[in-house]
Amino acid sequence: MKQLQIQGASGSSTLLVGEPLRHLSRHLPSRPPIIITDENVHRHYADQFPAGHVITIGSGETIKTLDTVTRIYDELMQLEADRSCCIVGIGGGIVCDITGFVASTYMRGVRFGFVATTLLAQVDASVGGKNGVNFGGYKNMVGTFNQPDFVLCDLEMLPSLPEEQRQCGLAEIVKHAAIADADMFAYLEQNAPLALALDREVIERLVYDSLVIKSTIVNHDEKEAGERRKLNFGHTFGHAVEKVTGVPHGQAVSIGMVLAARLSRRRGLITAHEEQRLQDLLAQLGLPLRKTFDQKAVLEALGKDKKREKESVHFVLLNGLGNCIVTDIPLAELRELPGC
Amino acid sequence: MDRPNIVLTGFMGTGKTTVGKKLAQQLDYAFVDTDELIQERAGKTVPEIFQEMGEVAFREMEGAVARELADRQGVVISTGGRLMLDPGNAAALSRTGRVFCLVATPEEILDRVSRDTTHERPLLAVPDPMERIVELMQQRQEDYGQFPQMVTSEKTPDAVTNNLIGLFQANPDQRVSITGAGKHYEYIVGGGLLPFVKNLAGIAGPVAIITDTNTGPLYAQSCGPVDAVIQVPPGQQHKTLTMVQSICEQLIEKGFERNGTIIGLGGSVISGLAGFVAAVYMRGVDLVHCPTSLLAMVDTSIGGKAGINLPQGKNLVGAFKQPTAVIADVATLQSLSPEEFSSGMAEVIKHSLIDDAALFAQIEGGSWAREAGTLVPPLPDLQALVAQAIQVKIRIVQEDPFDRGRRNLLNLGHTFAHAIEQVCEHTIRHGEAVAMGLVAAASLSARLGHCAPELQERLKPVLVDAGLPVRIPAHIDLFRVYEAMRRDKKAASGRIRFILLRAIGDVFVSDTVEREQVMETLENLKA
Repeated sequence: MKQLQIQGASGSSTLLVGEPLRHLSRHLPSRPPIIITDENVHRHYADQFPAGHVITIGSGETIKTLDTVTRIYDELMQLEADRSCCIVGIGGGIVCDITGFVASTYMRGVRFGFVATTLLAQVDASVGGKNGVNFGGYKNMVGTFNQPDFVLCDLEMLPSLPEEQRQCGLAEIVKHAAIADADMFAYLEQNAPLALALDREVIERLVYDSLVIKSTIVNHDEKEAGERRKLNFGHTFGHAVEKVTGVPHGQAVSIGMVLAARLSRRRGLITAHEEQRLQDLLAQLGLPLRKTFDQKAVLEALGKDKKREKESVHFVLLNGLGNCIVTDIPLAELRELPGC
Repeated sequence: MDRPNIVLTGFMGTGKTTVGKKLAQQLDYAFVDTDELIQERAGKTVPEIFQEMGEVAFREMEGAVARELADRQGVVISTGGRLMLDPGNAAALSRTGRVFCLVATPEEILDRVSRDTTHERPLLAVPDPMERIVELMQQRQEDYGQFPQMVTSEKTPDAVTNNLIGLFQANPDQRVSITGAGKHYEYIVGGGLLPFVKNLAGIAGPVAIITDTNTGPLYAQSCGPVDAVIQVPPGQQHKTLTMVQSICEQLIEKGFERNGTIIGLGGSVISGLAGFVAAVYMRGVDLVHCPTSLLAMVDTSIGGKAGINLPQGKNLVGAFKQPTAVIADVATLQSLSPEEFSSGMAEVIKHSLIDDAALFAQIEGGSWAREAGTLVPPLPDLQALVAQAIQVKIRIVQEDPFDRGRRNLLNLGHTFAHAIEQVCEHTIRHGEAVAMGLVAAASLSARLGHCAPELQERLKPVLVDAGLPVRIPAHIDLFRVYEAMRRDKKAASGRIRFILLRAIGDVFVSDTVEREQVMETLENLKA
């Protein structure tokens, strides 16, 4: 088990990589927690939950609404949960997002933590302090920034993940290495088959390194003024591709990274060899490099991203492997990108 | 800030330098002309800088000078014609200074510029300077329009100077600096501040006003042009998640983005709604409180709490959201009903009981009840009252921004008040419930031997004078009141937390009060 302490503006978080769910109670205050989880996780792992009331929500992005939040508030009121309660979200990114928002707003904020059960949640959704629900057709339109007290990353649960979920996590791991850590990128290249097979030792290192990278970036910039935008590498295109084609998030991010790398190469920021290395790694991890899609629709979706400001889009470009820059790219330039 | 800067902007030839120097002399301020400062530092004239280094370099120098001057005080700043048209510069200088835009007719400008031989005017080096002036003025009209205007046409520089000093000193704002959760902002109290709100708060980006249908028609326009005005129905019953949702929908519809600022213009319901929306919309946008009720001024707008009601109780959901500024225009209190004014007085009296015995004595000696249609007391007295009452809360919240300790003290009387309000289903005003709660807290404290019984006898007439009740209405079910207190979010594991009094200005927290003593106290206060 590897442990990492991160200090953010809204408090400090303890990240425990490789700590199993059954050890959750070691990290809780003495009072029983209130657990928020989804049906799937509940079905498979309820026997490992510590004693405490369990609130179950449905699964899928469509559950991430203010209605769900309101329903949880109701249940908390019925339980007479007061300000001294502790809420634990056990699940993937959606459970973490909802739990974070509920715990940050119920009684103006109560203690909370996560047990991240998917690779994506472990390397991404559980850290950074962002939470929120979808609204008016936009993702995470309503939310707050607030760090959980702790995050457990149980690696024993990962093998049961569906292929799609595994891909999502791996895509984020590649992203972290590509934007911030050349050594990690090389390690990934050497151990791609083991990573794909979710080898315990390899995954523990990759999750830990990802958390170090993400939390370092987040600490620099808790409010997405600049530094945090780096984490959007591959996501600007990725979200648009996801929206238009409906491919799973991890695949969309992979395609987005390929496009962003091409843009980086055209601007002379990486070599053709480096671009190839990124593509090879993604391919080794079973991630797609391209997809045919309606270019006009994707560009239109880009303009509608909630992070959009005016006629240009904030774009993350690689600046050598293991480094990146954030720059404004006019939508017009994106239109000329081959393959887009 | 004792000596806020005065920033003069406006078109060339409107007299910024001439008037600025006179102002500085009369106010005993320093005088800085930004163009001259830049020329001095660069060792070149402005036209030379434009020619040799380019306009971008010049604008960068202006930006550096603006940031530097914003950190000083007691300076009259005459700005280059376009310096204040940069939102960043305007925001920086507005933060620590009052901005005035001098205006004149094109004819007068041409006349003044032609007579002034000390400056080169590269922009006017054209065959028809008059046409050029009119054209430039039209281009910049909208940008200059964001600042309060001072007409200089047909006035001597001395007359303009005296007018400005009049404006500046007529109601010197009182400013209190607040540091909350690592953020620093100012609470500004004054009469007639609303037209200056964007300058005072240093707002640069898009603005959305959230207000209610009573306050909006009265004051939204006073705040100058904004990108959206969202009006909600007035009243506690609308401080709900459904309303939050509706406001967010309207913001999305107006294309309001993350770089925007929400102004909460209204009473405490608006403070809560606007605060919560600003906390969660796109995970947070900037917030400026413009409280228009006494209650919101002395209580809700301070401390960064934003609460939303659930069917089960008040403020059960919420967030901590520090504003970038609080601008309290006491002139808006003129539109308050006597009941609303009294409601605010309940919080003022509460603050004095918590930590300001002198303020209590002052209230005791004055007459604060409002008669219908007239404003008693006059504006300067109100401003002084608000300025003093906010200090108590500011002191306490600064020590405890996230409500984990000392801040509990602000709940004096509120454990009772929230429960009474809830049992009455909010048919009585918050201030009325607080007044009952204050008497209950004093009475309970005396019953437990913490303070003299005389304290509540001294408190009651003060509340009555302010138009507030001191007894609990007979129809209220006291058992339900007790149950509601137990469910309050301040209660930890079923133990109710009370704030008790040792003396006026000296309070403490206790969670060891027995049910019986609480019930007996309540019984005794029943009308």
